Amino acid sequence: MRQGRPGLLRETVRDCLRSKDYGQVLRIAREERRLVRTLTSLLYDGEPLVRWRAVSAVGRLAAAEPEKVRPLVQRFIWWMNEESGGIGWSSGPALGEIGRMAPELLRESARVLVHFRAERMILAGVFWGCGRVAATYPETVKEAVPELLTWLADPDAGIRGTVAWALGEIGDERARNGLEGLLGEGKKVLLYEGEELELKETGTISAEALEKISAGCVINDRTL
Amino acid sequence: MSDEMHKTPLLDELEKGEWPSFVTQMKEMGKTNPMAKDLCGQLEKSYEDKITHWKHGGLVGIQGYGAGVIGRYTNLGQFPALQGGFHTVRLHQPAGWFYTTEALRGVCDIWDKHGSGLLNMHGSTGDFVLLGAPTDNLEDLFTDYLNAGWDLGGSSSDLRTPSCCNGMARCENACFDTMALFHDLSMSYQDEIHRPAFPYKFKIKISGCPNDCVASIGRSDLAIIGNWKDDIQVDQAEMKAYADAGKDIAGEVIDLCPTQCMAWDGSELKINNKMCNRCIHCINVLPKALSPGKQSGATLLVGGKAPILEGAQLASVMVPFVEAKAPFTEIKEFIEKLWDVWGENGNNRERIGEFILRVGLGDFVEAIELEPDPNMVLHPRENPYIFYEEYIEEGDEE
Repeated sequence: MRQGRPGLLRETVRDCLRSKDYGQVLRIAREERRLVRTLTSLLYDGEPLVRWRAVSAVGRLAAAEPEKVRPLVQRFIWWMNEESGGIGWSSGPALGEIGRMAPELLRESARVLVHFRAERMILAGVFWGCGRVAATYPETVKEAVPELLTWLADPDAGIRGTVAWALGEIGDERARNGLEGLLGEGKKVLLYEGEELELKETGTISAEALEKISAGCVINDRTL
Repeated sequence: MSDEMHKTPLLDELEKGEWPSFVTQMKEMGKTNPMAKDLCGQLEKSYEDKITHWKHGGLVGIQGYGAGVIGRYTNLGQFPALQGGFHTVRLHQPAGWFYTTEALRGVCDIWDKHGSGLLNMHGSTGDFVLLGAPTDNLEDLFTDYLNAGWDLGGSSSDLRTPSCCNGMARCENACFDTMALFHDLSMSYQDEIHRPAFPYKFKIKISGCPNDCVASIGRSDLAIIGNWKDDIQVDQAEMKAYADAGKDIAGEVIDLCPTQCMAWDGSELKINNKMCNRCIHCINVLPKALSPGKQSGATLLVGGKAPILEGAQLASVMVPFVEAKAPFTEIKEFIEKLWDVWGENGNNRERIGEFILRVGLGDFVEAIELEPDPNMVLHPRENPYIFYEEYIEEGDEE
């Protein structure tokens, strides 16, 4: 039963996300059945930082208690493409984060995420998800590189910037020319990286992506 | 606007005869609204082709909301006013569907400004439906409605907008304040309504008495139906008055009682209330003489749904009686247990009624921490060839 007034759990979790207290979120998850539902609803939060940190929290929960998150995978996919008015605003990022932190949960769906293009409205988030699964599903994302490159020319700066970031995460040499084409571009986009939201120029994102490709490393650290 | 109306001979057929037709309103609106005009054209074409021309064309919605707007796109290129989208916007209707004329005019003024001018009053679930909003107008439309005090209803895998009969506002049978419960649930569960987090939709419908005027038992995952614990109230003088006025009490009431629990000797009505199964027929036929009991509240039933995916179901009794008084704590505790169990374990697109069929009623009742109750059983089992063996512990001698 809800302890305290309605919305109290939601506010508590929101505060944890603002202060990056994921440990507390996981502790609550062990005691409160409602936590998964609350976290899912925070993926729609009006405050961008809260909904992005909710993405990170979903990933950590997936790593700590995969069975709690397993039923969500199908639901996130459904909400990206359903016809009865639901909008999976954060489905792409959430799936990507789950794929990074608990790859086994995305074994059947990683390709669905990486190749999803049906909904323009949530595409930037899907590309972000692609970047996150680069470390755990490298073959799957490498398949998509030639097609991902075409999105660097998209009129929407958010899409360009997120694809550029994802290509850096993927670390494939084939992206070099495309990324060089974006250098110096001054359009600012919101990018969530290292669990922080930052306004960055698409040119800067491309430059950083190129560095990652040059360094030749695919990030394997599953704690970040 | 100089364009002619589309020729619609098939639609025109619907306007003939004694009964009014929605076609008349569509054509009327089409005189001044291009979207309504083109809708007539598309509908006529659908009648010709015997197929719908609406397709799923993509997600659409309001920032900060995960639900409430359903995307509708035409797959025909020949109707210009429909190319920008013809989406369904649901507004959360007031309790019992009570409106002031001022409120209705306000809703329509905003709608005329942004959309097709066409409405569903109301959608099947109960929402006030705005039928035909173009994508580009959605945010402005929503801002105008928000400023006027309205909000979106539910859609997708969320708690759908509840609905209720007008209960104590107008009906002497109301066993609890349906409109107060509707309002409380709507406000308590705003998050669940606007941000889908369930395996699939969840509908709550509220009726003040067993007449179930909102048909909750067939149409909602959680049906809250007014009921009473004690005896039907009988005014014997009024019974006599009905008889004196020529009412066929035996034929219309006594003989039709499904449990045959009533007896009428010409001057006194006796009811064996323990056998009453709350069909409420007698009360409906003899309202001056009979009314629901004084210890009134509600019964909670779970699992009603329409055919998709696995067949239509009627809701089943789970909690025979709750008091149903504000702040409705018992009801909300029950709802949250349902959501905990089904939310955690339900498959994608699995309604709670289907979930119960899959896991079995016994396991479900245990999971939601309810004591099994005979009222949950439709009828006793008829197969005598089921035996229960004593549980034999390992190591026991036979």
